[in-house]
Amino acid sequence: MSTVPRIARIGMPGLRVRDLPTGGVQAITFHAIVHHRRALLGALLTAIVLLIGVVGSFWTPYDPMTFDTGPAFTPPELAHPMGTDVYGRDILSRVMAGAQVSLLVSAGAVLGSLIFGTIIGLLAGYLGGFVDVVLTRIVDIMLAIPGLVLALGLVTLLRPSAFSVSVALIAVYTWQFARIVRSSVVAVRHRPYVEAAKGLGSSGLSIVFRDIFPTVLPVLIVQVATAFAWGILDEAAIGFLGLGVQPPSPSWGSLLIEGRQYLYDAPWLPVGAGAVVMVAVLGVNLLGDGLRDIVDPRSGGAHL
Amino acid sequence: MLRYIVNRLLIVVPLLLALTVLLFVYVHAVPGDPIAGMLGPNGTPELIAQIRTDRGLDRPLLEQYWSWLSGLVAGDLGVSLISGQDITPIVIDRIPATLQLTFAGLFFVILIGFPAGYLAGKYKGGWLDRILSPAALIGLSMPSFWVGTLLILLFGVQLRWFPTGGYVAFEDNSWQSLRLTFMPALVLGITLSPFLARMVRASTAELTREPFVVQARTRGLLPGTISRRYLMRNAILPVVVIIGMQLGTLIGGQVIVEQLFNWPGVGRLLIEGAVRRDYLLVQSLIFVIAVIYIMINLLTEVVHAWLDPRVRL
Amino acid sequence: MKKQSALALTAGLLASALLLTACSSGGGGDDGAQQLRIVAAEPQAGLDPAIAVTQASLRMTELMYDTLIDYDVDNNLIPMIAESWEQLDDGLTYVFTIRDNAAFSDGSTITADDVVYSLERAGASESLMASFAVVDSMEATGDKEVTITLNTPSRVFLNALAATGQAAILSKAAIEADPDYFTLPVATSGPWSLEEFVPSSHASLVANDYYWNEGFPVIQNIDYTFSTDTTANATALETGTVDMTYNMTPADAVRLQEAGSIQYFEAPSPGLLSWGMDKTKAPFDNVDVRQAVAYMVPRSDRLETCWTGIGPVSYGDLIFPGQSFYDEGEHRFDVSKDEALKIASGLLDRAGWVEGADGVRVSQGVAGMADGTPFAISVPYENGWAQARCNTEMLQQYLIPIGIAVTPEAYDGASFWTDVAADKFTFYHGGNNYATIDTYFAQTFMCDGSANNLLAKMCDPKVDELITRAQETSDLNEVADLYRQVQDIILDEQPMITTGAQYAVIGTSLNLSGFYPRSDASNRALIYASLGN
Repeated sequence: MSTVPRIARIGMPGLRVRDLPTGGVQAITFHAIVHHRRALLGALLTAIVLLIGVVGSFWTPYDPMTFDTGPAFTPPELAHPMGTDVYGRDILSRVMAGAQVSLLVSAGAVLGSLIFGTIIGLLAGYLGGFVDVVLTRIVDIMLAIPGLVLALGLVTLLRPSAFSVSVALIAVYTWQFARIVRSSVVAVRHRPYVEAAKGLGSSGLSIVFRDIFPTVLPVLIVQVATAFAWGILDEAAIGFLGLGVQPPSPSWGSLLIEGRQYLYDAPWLPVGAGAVVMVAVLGVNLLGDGLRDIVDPRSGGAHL
Repeated sequence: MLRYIVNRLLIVVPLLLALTVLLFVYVHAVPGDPIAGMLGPNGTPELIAQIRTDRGLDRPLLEQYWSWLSGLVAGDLGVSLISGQDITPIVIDRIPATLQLTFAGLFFVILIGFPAGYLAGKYKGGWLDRILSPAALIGLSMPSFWVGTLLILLFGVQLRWFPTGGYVAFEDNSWQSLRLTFMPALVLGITLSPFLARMVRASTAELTREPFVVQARTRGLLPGTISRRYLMRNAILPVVVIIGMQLGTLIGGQVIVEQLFNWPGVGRLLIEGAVRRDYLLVQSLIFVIAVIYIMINLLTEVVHAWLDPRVRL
Repeated sequence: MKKQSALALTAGLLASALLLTACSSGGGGDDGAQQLRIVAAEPQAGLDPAIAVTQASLRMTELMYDTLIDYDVDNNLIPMIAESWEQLDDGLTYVFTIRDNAAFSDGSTITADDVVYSLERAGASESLMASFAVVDSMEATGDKEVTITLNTPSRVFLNALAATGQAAILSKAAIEADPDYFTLPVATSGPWSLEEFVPSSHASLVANDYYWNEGFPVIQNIDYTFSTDTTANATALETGTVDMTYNMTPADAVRLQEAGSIQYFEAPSPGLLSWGMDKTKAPFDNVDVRQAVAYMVPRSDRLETCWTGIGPVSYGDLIFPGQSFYDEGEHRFDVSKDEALKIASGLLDRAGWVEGADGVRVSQGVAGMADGTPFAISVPYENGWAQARCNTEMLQQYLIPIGIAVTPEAYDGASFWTDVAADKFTFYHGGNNYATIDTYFAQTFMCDGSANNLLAKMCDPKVDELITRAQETSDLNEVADLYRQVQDIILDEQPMITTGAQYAVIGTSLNLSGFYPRSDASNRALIYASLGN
């Protein structure tokens, strides 16, 4: 099992010296999260957002598609906490309904790129040789195209929709996962215990699962959180550019297109929808950062 | 050292070639006829066919690929399929605007990110750090178009300090040009500076712990001198690295900002091309962007190798 | 170090903030030098009148090339390059006399040869081929005289000669000398000539020194910036960065005019906004179903919500008040919502669409459909046309009471019309504008009309006969009556459901005077306009 050595910090005036726990996946406990301020805040925010998404899928204050739930273009008030849009649709309801779509798109993107990226990274890192060279070149080519540009290109190809945004984001994120997994695997591949396991005759697959995976896992978990945050952000960005989920289907991205069109008549639409995106992304980022601290305290000095 | 550079270049060339094939295949797989889209309901089948022939769209695919590729090598980006005009002058025409925004954006990124990261790192754990670090995280989480919209509403509509969009060339009207650049560049700065700040903070914090810094302190050097002589010079390094690493994010961010502020840059050109299905424009533009991206990454790798001999092995 | 840098930073920020607030809002409007700044869509279809049929291209070509004749503010034909014309007694021959001082922008004279060359070119082009089909021969019968003989009387032939930007008079010598003439046309006949054209960026036009109309155009320079972002264009107009933009979103135009920053004009072009249908199979092969939907679609509501009240509403008419040959017909669909619901329900019941469990109608005994099929349709609209999206979303809401489930579908603009032509859609959002009522009816409703398969998808020999007669006779009352008969047939058949038309909105700065909109959406009134203070 991999262990992370304890580190003694140099005592500096003003810095409390803490005793650090061992890292790794086993460090992620409820206790650890609750006691890590950022992780806790992140977990709470993420939970709230997920809750909104879940609730939004079967209940919203008004039907998100019905016109004239109130006069058009009303600013936020008690009956309509986020105001109404050009047809008098309640914006809060649309945001809630949109949460489900956006979160699903992002989750789908993360899941897909996790699976593909891990497979590619494992193959490249473990098998080495020609396979490694070819796969790494492919990863390099794909990483050579800036992410948003690549995503836009794919979404144009596939016709704008929730599904195509998900696929496009998978195509963007996979390579980053692959690169991370590969470097983790390469780092571990030559460690004595792996060589020993090979020498003892353990099958490749069991080596992968027993020895390599535990090292890779913590990195993956953090990357998943980061990618999820980026997924929400990118879905909204692609939506803003008009190439994502199309109105009137609510998603945070499509709400932003509508918001831009009526920017001067109903500024509360883009402001409100954007604020929700920000809170969601912030929550996941906080959680990701917190998890990173928990699983790998060595990095606690490098990032906050 | 030279061998390292040549080695890296040799890898880059087939990379670029593979990229051209990928781009060509992709672009032609996109459904939708650019000419029909342009003509709309005025497009009779005969007219569409006539313009298609005019633009060379009915040649065999392989021939179209070859003529594009050979043009690229000669520096000619091809001809727009929609307007029939040369692409190269269009792109060149947009470069000043693009660069103006990129540099102004980088200016704000460094202006906001470097001091914040430096101070946070130097006084890690202190009150400044405790404010700046969460601020950086919030900055990271804000969608760029949301920040832009807020700024437009605040500075453009409410206060009327700045015009809400458009572009004027610097040589035409410097003052107006700067005014128009301010908001879009600020948006880039706000959303991208957290990356820089974090990195600077990390390296500054590490440096503060380095033995030579600790030594300097025990030797009695003034904190100011330590800052200037040791910390700052070494902390600059990550700025170079981060620019290379975050180039993709910068490009993506710039595309969005250009769209929001109607800034006639290369990013907007790409979106316009994609929406109109102007194959050649999209192909050539993505290729150019990728080449720049690869070159800059190559440059940072070389710089890194020059500074750190271990990498060359 | 820290203190110094912090101080410097703050000082710098304060200074810039002070400087920035001290500046006044930019207003680049030039006073003395009559320079007009326009921001509008790029003429991507190019500048060759034979192929440049898009509105964006026409708005530029009409400034660069003159036609033989043109329209005035009341839509009457007036002389342009042709000083006068007469129609001979046989009704088939027209003789045009070209002005003595008609010249191209390089000073060379416009001769009858140029005119014949240009008109032959126009007649061979896709867009005007149908209109020139009546031409038997065109000859230069003198240095300044052109004789055109038709093979059948046509009231509308002169309109073809006035087709703005398309029936352009070109310099034969210049075109034959340069194979790439149309990338930067020189020696042009219009009020302005093209000085510079940077694709995807801007163009500039300068007044033609040799233009025949002394003293015009008043505006000497036109700065044409390309941008398709209507929101940004509206802002540019509002802040005074530009003086004119056309194709404004109605909401922006109304808002800015009410705020007192701009003035706007509506171009009352013939045309239609309609719902197209696939009538070859159920459900829309049944006229009762079409009529039922026609009762329920939003009409004045969609005008208010999506077009901010700009444009006409149709309750059955296809020609609207203020347009030529307007003759009020039966406003069949101008009934209360309750009345409409009652009528429509009856029609659908009769057609075999009965009320279903969850409020959506299901088929029962409908030919070509299994019993129990729900009445659910996907309605595509051109992505990027914001009003179309609004209209389709309203359609979804308005068909709920009648039990039809609509799913709006944002459809890629590049494929939309080719897919419409290929009959891919059951029900779709469409529309188009034309230069004259005659071209509108001919192209949309005649069996081989160029836009028929895109909008009306109908073929009725009776309609063809009526329209042909209307285009031949010169009795305007008879024309109005014939077109009325066409509209009545269409009212009963509802091959497409027309709810109105979209009028182009042209926004200008308050300084522009003397400009008027035209029903062919042309901006040629700029010739007589000037920028005051």
